[in-house]
Amino acid sequence: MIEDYIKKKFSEYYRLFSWRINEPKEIAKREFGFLLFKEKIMVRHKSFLNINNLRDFIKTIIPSDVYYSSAYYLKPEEEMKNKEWLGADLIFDIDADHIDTLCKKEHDKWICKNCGYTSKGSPPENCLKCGENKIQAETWICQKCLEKAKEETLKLIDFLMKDFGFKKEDIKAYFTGHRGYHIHVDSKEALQLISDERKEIVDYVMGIGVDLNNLLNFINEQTSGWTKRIASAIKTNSLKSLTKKKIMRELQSIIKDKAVKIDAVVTMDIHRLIRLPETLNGKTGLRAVKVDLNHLEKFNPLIEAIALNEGEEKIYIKEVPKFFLGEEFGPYKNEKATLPTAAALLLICKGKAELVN
Amino acid sequence: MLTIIDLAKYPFIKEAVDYIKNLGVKIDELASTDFAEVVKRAEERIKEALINAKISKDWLSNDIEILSFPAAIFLVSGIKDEKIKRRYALSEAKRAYEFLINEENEKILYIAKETFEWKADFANINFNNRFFAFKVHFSNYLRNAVKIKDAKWKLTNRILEEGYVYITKEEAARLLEEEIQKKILDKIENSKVEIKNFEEQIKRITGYSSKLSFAPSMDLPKTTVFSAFPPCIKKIYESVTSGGHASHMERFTLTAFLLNAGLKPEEITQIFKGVSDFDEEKTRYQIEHIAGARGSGIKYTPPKCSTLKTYGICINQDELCNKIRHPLTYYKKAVKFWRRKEVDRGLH
Repeated sequence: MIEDYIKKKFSEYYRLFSWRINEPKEIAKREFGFLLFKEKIMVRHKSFLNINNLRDFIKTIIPSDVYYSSAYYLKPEEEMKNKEWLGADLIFDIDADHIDTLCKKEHDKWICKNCGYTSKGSPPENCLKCGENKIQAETWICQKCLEKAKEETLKLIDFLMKDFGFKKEDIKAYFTGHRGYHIHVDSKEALQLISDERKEIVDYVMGIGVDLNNLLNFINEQTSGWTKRIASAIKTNSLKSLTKKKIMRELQSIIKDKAVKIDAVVTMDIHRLIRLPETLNGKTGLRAVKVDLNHLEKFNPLIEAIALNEGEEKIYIKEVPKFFLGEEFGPYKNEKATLPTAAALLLICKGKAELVN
Repeated sequence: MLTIIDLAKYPFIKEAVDYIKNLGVKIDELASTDFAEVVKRAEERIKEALINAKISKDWLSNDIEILSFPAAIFLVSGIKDEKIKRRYALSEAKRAYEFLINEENEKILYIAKETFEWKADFANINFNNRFFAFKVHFSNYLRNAVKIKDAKWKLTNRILEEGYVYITKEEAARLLEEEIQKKILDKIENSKVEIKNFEEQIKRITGYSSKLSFAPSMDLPKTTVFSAFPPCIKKIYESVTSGGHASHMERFTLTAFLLNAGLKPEEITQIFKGVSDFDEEKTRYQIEHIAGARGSGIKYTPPKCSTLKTYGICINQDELCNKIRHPLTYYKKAVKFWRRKEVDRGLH
């Protein structure tokens, strides 16, 4: 019933806006995957010769999520070991899940499915009460978390341009439609990098393995790379009076501050399926929208990623904190309300509300 | 830019290949007595590689020296032993490295760009009393540097600016050594000419290899030596057996490690009995998958140290950790150490 409603709305979006989906570079060499509503199963190893075939397919099956491979394959429809990998775009994933924000204590919570214990904030690995790890997290989309994810994205882009020398036009940023951003780099030089080599890039932007002892003799604003990043952060005289131990601690905190918090696995996996831009995110009903780099700083996903902004819906809401989606809503607790379609769809996708008929 | 002597020093470069083409020599002519000297030097190259891990750097005739290189590749490709192929490629690469460190910078850059298609240029800049002669695009850098042990090659610790990594002349030669080794292995792999009339040489070469001074083989012991586990594995093992929790990656690492250390899937299932969310059916299935008995049929090894670091699994590093890059290498070395101790104590 609820799925039928979401699917109907997704269908409406794709009927009106499937033209927004751009043809990925070398579409015929990409693998596509579709998460279906009903069975929650993933249909993968699909390929399409052109964008119209892909749009038609999406309009026919109406998937909850659409993915495509960052990799290029000679035979994208074959099973994994026969695909014949030709190269892959360089991908980065920045997600509020990997960033500590204070507001998570207000809007995220988790429930232990074993003992029923529930608490606020980021989910721990094990239940704090019974020690089991059957934990279900309930995350919320909040502006502060998204703002923090955006800051990390901007930091990453700075690394990619200044240190790695990628051109602005080769770097593309996308809001994921949920709690973060994807960065795709389309560069001839990065195409052939294997997993181990991509891992070095990950470690670089995350500041993993910086040799602090070496750094101490090297700090000099004329150099570049990490030494320069750190040098420009240090108030040089403030270090002189400190003990070595304190200097090390200071350096570590600078690195932590300058490093970008990304999901390492996404970048290292050269066979990964990633969300297709301009499709809908099944967790929220929001668009995975492309963001112009010049606009990124001012970009507000909770306005610009709204997919369907016409009509309204009467729903019964269990419990949600105050939230923003084009305008302020809530908080609600066990009450009926009539909300604009996008806000109603978000709550329904998140499992926080039901239709009232 | 290049002289004929350069072609003899670096017989794998593009220009050497063209030079040989212009001489009009065909591989199937090698068996003729006209090329006896070429074949002799080719065999000598391989012999030197196998016995001394070093190929001599002086010669009488440039042409014979140049021609003997493809001839040696041809001979090596006829031998089944992968170790011999790798040893030969490595020795040729080391020979080239020794020439390169004394080479003019112009020539180094020329070879890097022309033969290996590096995006690179002169840097000629001093940072902290180190002179960086070149800068190379990070993609070319990574391709080779990830193969070299030593923290100084880690990208995080390099000067990286606008896509280029700054390197010294010695470092350029070292990175090229990796390129050369790869190129020679490729040449051996792709040599499709059938070998006839060289049975004698092949037999002799195989003979040299039996006297090889390869590093003693580091086979894993047949019984599992728990005291030789690296600290990261010990930690996961302890946590799992004491009823604690382990992440997916930790479970994978421990399972793949234990399988390689000789434990049977059933034994590993027993070990996991302690975890709080134990599900025997699921555990056995996953262990068998990692063992290669199910699904892809690939037997997995645990991730290497740098990956474990990225996942936050690497902890309590000890002295031996600094000398290795893979938990299984730690284990092999530690086992040897323990064995020696036992021998010393008269236990064996």
